[in-house]
Amino acid sequence: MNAFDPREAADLLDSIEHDARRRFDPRPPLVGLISAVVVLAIYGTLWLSVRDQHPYVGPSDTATAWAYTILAVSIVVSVTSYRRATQGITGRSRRQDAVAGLAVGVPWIAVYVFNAALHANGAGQDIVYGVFDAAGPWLVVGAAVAGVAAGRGRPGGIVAGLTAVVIGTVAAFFGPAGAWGVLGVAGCAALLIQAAARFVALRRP
Amino acid sequence: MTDDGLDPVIHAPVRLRTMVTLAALRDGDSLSFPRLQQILGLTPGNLITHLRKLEAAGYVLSSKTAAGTSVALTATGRKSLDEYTAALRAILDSI
Repeated sequence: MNAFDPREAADLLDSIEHDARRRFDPRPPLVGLISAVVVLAIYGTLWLSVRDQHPYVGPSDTATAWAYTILAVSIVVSVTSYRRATQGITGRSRRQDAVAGLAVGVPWIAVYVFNAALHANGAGQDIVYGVFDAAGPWLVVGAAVAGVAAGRGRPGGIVAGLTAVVIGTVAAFFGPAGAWGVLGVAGCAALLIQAAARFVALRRP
Repeated sequence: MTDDGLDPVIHAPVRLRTMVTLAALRDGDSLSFPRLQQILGLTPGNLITHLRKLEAAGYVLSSKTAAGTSVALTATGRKSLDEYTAALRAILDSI
C-alpha cells in the first residue's frame, strides 16, 4: 500500500526543484537587475560629467566619487547574494569559484595599472581618462569571463563575456565622452537581457 | 519497487525533498547538515533518520570534517533520482 500519490510526488518534485535552483543561484535575476541599474547609473553619471568638455579632461572628481560609491554598494549586494546562495556548500564548485574570481579580478586590476602606464608614457587625457578608461575594463574583464566560462563549460558565461568584449569594442569608436554613454546604455541593456534569461531559466520545468 | 514501479527509498516526501535538494548542487559539491535541515525544515533527529535510509541505499554520502557534517548525492543517487523521475512521468502520462 502506497499513501504517497504519484501526482502529489510529481508536484512536490517540481516545486522543490524550482525552489532549490532559486535558492542555490549565486546570481539571481534581481541581482542582475540591480547590476543593470548600477551600470546605467555609474556610466551615466560619468558621461554627464564629460559630455560637454572641450578639450576633454575626463570625469569630474564628484562624478568619480559617485561612481565608486555606487560600485561599492553594488559589490556589497553581489557578495551578500553569493554568500547567501553558497552558505553551507563545500566542494569543487567553491574552489572553481575562487580560481575564477582570481582569473577575472587580476586582469581587472591590471587594466587600471596598464592605464597608469599609458599616463606615465604620455598618452593623452582622452585615452587615459576616456576611451581606454571606459572601454578597457569591458574588453579585458569580458575576455577573462568568457575564458573562465569556456573552461567550466558554461555557455551563458561565454555569451556574457563576449557581449562585454563587443560592447567595449564598439563603445571605443564613440570617442572619449561618447564611450561612457554607450557603455552605460548598452551595458544596462545587456544585463537586463541576461537577468530576463536567468529569470526564464529558473522558471523552466 | 512500489506497485507503481517507483523506488520506495525515494518515494517518500521527506526523502524526495532531500534528494531533489541535493541534486540541485553542482557535481562534486556537498551541503552542510544545518543548511539542509534549515531548507527542509526538519528536526535533526528526523533528518538523520531519513539520511540513514538514503545512505544505506547508497544514494547519499555523509562526511564529517572539522567544519561539521556535510551531505552529498552520490552518482548512484543521481542516477536513481533520474530513473525515479522518469518512472513518475511515465505513470502520469499513462493516467
